[in-house]
Amino acid sequence: MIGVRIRSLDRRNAEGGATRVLGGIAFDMEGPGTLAILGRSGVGKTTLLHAIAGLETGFDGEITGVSGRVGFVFQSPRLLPWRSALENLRIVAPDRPDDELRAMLESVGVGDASDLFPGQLSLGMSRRVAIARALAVRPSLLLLDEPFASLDLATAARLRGMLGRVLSESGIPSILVTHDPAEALELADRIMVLGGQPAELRLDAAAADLDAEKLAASVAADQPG
Amino acid sequence: MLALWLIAAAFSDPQTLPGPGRVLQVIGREAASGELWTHVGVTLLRVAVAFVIAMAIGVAVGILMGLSRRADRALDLWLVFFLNLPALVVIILAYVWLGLTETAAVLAVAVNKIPNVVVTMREGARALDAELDEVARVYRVPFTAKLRHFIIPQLAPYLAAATRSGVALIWKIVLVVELLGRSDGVGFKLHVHFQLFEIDAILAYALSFIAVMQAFEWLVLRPLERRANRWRQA
Repeated sequence: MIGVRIRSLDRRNAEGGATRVLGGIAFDMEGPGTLAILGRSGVGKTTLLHAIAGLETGFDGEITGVSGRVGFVFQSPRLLPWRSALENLRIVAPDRPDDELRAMLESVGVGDASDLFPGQLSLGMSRRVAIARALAVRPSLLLLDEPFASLDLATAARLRGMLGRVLSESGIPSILVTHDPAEALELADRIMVLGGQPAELRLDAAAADLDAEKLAASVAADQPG
Repeated sequence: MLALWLIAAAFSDPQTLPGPGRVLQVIGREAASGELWTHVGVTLLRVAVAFVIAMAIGVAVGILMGLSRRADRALDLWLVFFLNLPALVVIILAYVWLGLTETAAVLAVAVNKIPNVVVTMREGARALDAELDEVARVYRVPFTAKLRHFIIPQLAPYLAAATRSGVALIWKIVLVVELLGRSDGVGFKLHVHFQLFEIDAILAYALSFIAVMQAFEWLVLRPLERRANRWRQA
């Protein structure tokens, strides 16, 4: 079981003072399934995800139960531009043979791009490579930060379909950060809404009990002060 | 440049400015006697050793200063000191303290070059991408792999800049070091021929060494850079 307990997380601001980004946030995750974290942009979703991944330290609280490796799909693909797609996977998963990594690229739909540099790929393809990289490490937890941002609708829809299939096939527990209620409803089993400043949990429910209107209203109720 | 030289030589005293033909003749003579190879070889070896020492120390210190604010604060005063220390002072002090030895010569050259490498590499390390660093951290990339795949590719342009300006600066300082305290090398030969006022020989040695450095640029630096930049053209 993965446990997230954050009492407070502060960020230094431009004036040299500290701004409290996250307030009391506590939840547990049990077994496989996808948890979506919704909220307006700037509310602290990414910060929360970074804290869970161990990239954000120095907060008051603790993250427990994250054993093994974490797969992280960042908001931008963040591939190494001087290494081919396949090499980008090999660098994080040096223990896996190339044919397995190629199969991984194949399964996210970029099998023919394995020897290309990221600069030769479209954003949609780069995102697919980034998802393959996250899966290549055999993660015990998969974290996805707005994986469909800045894509045109059709590409985003195709990518969403692919990700939904991969998530349900692999059964890896995953957390998806998004601002889009429809995306959360399509991919997640459980949905949380972050709101307020500092951000707190506003809603935590099974996706089956929610609908797009209810979610949109919950997100819209939180306006930046 | 050759045409300009021909015209200038035609109008001046061959003692003061010998023409290209005359200089080529001297190069041929010195090469045949083996003198040229010995002295150019000795100088080249000193350049190489000083370069390796300067780059190794300069790159390490530069990256450290670029990454750690504490190291930067602690070492900045020293950096400014060595950056502004005249090359001639370093050479004289090295010879006085260590004697007229090979160690003193090479060390003096390296000390002159290290601060420049540090400055360049510090800028490079400061410009390292924090987002890629997060990737390395979240995927627990081991340090050697991180160095090879994340850090060195980002520092490659800075390494190339430090290398190119480094080799040029080092060979000039090596000549001064040889002139002041060595009995072989291109700098020593220049000194001898200067005292005899043999301008043709001075030009012969200078041009031979420039040719060697040009060859280094074309045969080593350019191909390396092309390899490092493959991903940009793709």
